[in-house]
Amino acid sequence: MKNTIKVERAKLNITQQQLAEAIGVSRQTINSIESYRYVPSTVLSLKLAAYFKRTVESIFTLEDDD
Amino acid sequence: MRTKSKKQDLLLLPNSFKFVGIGIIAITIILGIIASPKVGFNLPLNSLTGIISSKLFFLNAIIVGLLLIALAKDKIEDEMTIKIRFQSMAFAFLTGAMQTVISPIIDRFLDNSIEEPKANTMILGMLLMYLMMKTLLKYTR
Repeated sequence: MKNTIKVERAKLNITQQQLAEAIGVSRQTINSIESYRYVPSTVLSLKLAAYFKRTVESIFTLEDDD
Repeated sequence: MRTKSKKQDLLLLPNSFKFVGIGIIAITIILGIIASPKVGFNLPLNSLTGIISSKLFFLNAIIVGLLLIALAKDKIEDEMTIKIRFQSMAFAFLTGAMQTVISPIIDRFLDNSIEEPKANTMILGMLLMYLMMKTLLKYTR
């Protein structure tokens, strides 16, 4: 699964640490999500989408082998 | 239909207990070295220092220390750290099971004897595997 978290974060000019604190997770979690090493839960995905004022589908996209 | 979303929260000890565990292990190792017959004093088991120098006390104290480290929270506990904990626990359980099966075979080849693996040695191994796997997953994610 791919995501555009890094792009959205760059648009708002915030660090991974700042995003992590705003969402209530660790910086490592944000880093893992951005590196596609971790797929967040529904709750976390919704929180991220709400923070960036986007829909979940616009941030997260399924890949062919998912 | 409205569903209640439960905040995932494991019953863990505060983060400071990690340092308590490290302290217990450090003190145990130092006491073990001091009370060791090869380094320090050869004391009978009915004395306090004799008890401390016994292998059983040494292993059990190390287990208590490792257990406190294992049960201590990380600075920030979130869904990813919970997932890492469960994966590490599964790995530790698997290594414990393998140790139970393989250990007598290794003993047979090395000592030409078959001994049942001791419980505290197994628990020690499982705790070490749990902590090793948890650290590995945390920093390579």
